[in-house]
Amino acid sequence: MNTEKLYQQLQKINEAKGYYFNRDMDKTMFLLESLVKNRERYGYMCCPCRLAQEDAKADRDIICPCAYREADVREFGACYCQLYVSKQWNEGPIPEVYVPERRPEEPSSRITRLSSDR
Amino acid sequence: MAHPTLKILVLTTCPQCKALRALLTTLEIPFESTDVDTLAPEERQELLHWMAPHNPKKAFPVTFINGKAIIGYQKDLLMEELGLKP
Repeated sequence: MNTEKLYQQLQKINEAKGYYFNRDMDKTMFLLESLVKNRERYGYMCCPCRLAQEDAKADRDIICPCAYREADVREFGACYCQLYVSKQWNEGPIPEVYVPERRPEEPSSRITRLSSDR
Repeated sequence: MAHPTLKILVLTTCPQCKALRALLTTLEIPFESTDVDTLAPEERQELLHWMAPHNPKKAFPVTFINGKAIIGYQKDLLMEELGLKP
């Protein structure tokens, strides 16, 4: 799927939920290309700003839109990778701030599993 | 003023990582960069093991400078560490 089609498809779904694409179109299109790239190499749209474990189950909380989007957009006006933002964020009154990683640290028992470990 | 050797760990798919590299290049600050998501499994495992104490949440980008780790693209913090005005 090309990114233009992905853009239109996701825009409709997510704006209805109150999440808007970042007004910086270069960033938005780069992020959409990155999602397509991650789907091609991992089989799922892992968040472009997080390191995939190459395991959809282990990464289910960071498959875009990630499980942390709602809390991040509510607190910072933008999700972790700044693909999705609030209407107000896009219209400017909210300063663009660094969004810290909300995902809890991995439990020590769950080490990073790589394709060669399967 | 000589700049400390700076190491960054980034992901090829992350725009904040892209912005960090662009900033350092614009400022002509020498740096070593590693694309963590394209490392071979063994190399990645070794790097994550080394990185864990400094960056337990495995957040990217991460900048190592002056013996510190700056997690994320925090431009003001980085400029301060470099002794430059944000």
